[in-house]
Amino acid sequence: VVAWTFRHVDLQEPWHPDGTRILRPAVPLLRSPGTAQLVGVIDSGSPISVADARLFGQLGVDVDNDPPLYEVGLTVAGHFARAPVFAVTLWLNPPAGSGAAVSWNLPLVARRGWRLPFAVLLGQRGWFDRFPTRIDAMSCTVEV
Amino acid sequence: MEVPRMVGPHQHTGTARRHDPLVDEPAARPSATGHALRPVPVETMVEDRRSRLVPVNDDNIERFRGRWVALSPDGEVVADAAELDELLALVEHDGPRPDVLVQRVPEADAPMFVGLG
Repeated sequence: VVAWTFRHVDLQEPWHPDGTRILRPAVPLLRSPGTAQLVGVIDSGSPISVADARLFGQLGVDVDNDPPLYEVGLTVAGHFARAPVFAVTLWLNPPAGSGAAVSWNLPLVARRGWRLPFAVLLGQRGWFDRFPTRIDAMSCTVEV
Repeated sequence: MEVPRMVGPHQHTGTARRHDPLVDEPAARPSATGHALRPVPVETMVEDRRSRLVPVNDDNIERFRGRWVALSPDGEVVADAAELDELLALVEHDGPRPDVLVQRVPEADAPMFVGLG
């Protein structure tokens, strides 16, 4: 089994009241090999994977006109909204010197009004069902 | 309406030796009660230095809050835009840019994210 380790990342969120930084378990994602890297934050408590709706055009999906796989209900900024889910392909970029990027297919929710400090939230469906992942206080180790 | 923009090296405000949050001890920061609290040292963070995810350079952070930014391998902002698709189109206009990392710099008063709610 090949495993890649990624140290948690400070996304410049406001600090904890005690003066410590917030660190997120995060991995570098690609839309395809050679493209700019996107930050994907791993969230084991999320049942689904979600991304900024504005990313989908870059993935070849027209959020407004393409038929989604299905829709899910999300609360966004305190308001309930239906969000479409599309089948997309993403690539996981390895740590430097650890081999080539790995692609996988996943159902990804397109969320409008995205204001989070990363592009993709990686949850149980779409991430953990493909990549067994161990998360500790400072890093995550991903089996690829 | 703010437009996407490329950030030239002449606009960087960093010093000759940039603060490296992976190595340097984080600076003290006043707490809400007015006491200077020093963050807990995180020596174990230094172990994996090969990660491609680099933190944005603290020296430049304030002017980019609320915007999507493209970071160089050194954590310098090389481009920024209001929306993700605008930034990706901007940084890849002249060809592939696998060297840059894209993230959004949260507002200074952004609430802590604890799920999709």
